[in-house]
Amino acid sequence: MREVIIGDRIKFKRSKLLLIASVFPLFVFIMNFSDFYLRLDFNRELAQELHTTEWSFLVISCHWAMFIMVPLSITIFASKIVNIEHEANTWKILFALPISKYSIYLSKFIYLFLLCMFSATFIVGSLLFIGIFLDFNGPIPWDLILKQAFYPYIVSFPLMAFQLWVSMVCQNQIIPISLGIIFTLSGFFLQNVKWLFWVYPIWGTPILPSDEFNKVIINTDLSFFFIMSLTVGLLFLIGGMIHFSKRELR
Amino acid sequence: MCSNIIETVNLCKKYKTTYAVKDLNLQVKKGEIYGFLGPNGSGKTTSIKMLLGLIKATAGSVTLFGKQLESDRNHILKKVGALVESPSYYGHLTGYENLKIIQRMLNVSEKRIEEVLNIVRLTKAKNKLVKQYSLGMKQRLGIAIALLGKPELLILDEPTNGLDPAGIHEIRDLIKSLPETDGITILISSHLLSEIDQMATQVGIISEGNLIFQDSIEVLRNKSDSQIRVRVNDANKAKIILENKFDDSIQLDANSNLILNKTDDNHISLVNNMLVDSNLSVYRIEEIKSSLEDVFLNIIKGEYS
Ligand SMILES: Nc1ncnc2c1ncn2[C@@H]1O[C@H](COP(=O)(O)OP(=O)(O)O)[C@@H](O)[C@H]1O
Ligand SMILES: [Mg+2]
Repeated sequence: MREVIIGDRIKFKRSKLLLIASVFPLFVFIMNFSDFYLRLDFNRELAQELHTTEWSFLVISCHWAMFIMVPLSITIFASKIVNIEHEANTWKILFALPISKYSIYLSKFIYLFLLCMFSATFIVGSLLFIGIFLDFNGPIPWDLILKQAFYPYIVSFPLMAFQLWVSMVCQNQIIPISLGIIFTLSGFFLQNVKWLFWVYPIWGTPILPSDEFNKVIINTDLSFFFIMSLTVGLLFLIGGMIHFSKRELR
Repeated sequence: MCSNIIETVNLCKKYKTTYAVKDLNLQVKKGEIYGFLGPNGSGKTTSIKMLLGLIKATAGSVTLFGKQLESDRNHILKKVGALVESPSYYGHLTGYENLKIIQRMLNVSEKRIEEVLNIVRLTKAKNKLVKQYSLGMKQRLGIAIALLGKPELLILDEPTNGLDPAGIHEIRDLIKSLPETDGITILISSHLLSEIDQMATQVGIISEGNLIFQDSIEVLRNKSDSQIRVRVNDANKAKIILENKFDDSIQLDANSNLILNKTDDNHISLVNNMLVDSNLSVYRIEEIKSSLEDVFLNIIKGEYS
């Protein structure tokens, strides 16, 4: 396993993977920074309407950009990581090596997960920057910021496993990328169908505004989504891994 | 226990309704350079993919180093290096980086990279991006990758395909130099007999999925039969005379030479006397041997089977 992970690492040279992994959170940053920078007073009023701080209002505000960005970025990361192999036509080399196909598969998943964690860290930095730059009141709510940055990814475990699987078994990456875009767009309309794994990113947030928009409430459904994410994610990961290892080379 | 490094028993691969490979019984002994010959589409790559477990056999079994491939895959593959079909490589990486990936995955020493670069003569180009390599260099890189794990069995699928004569020559020299140094067994496939003629010790010929010949290259050479070509001033007259005398039809080739199928000395001497006695001028009597390539083509056409 370790050998495969180290070998895979070399393949990412000159592949601009970290640049791509920065573009998505950069989008979240720009959307929110420009909004808060240009309409600071307006946003302050909204925060007051919700009887909350500027920091938690930022956390609430950035969520819509995140639940669009997270599934899209997972789609692109998975495709990008796997397509190195498709493009180079190297599956036949890898499969003829004395290493298990499971480890080939898991290594790809680990890198997909790491890229997501990298993006989440970028989000943490973005939120901190906005708040500090615009001189938000009160202490930095580390807890909220970390949760907002990482939760959307954590509940997207099934999406990661699913996108990885489709990217691995489809030679043509148009298929997983189209699927990922369909998931992202349809998730917005299907967000109340809570057993659809691709709507989870929408629910992966620590706090929400109440329906009356007069207070901030804690997202009590989170544990449900964490458990679902873990179960469905493991199912897809293990299922995808077994399917991949049993498949024949073209 | 047999000494075969590769042994397949009734190996079959069926795609939809047709067999790409049917009842293949390969036997490759230790230290041999086995030339696996067949025209395009005859099932060479399919067979090789089954040897490596890249695709599943519809029926039959593969035994490498005396062990069943299915049950001992990882143990067996440690001793096998392979180049399957067109070269595959990470084009955005250098030759060295390509080798480094496989070296890490095989967990062999880093020194081995320089060794194989040296064997395939890519040391100078090791820091160039592989997408800038020529086809010959890419093929050599593929062979280098196959050699990284110091394999006891090297499987090369058409390593000379698409190369110019100089490139073919280079790969041939490279392959010929291997067994002496390492005592390895090599299976090399090709659709041209001439490409492996000078290196193979054993030959297997596959046509439409069936192995129709498997023996040493000498046996194959002995299959090449000869004819006698006679050049005279009036071929048509000679033809009539000889046909009347020997009651046997005689062919003329495109240049109006007589072609005789009986080649023993007495017969030829008799023929010569008759022609001379009939006042014909005999310019030349020569033996023509069909080339190994002709034998190969004839075998494929089913003339010997
Ligand atoms: N994946 C596949 N699906 C269907 N037919 C295939 C497949 N792979 C190979 N074939 C067929 O099997 C036959 C043998 O192909 P192949 O082993 O590639 O021949 P060779 O390597 O000798 O040129 C061909 O007729 C080819 O069309
Ligand atoms: Mg082939």
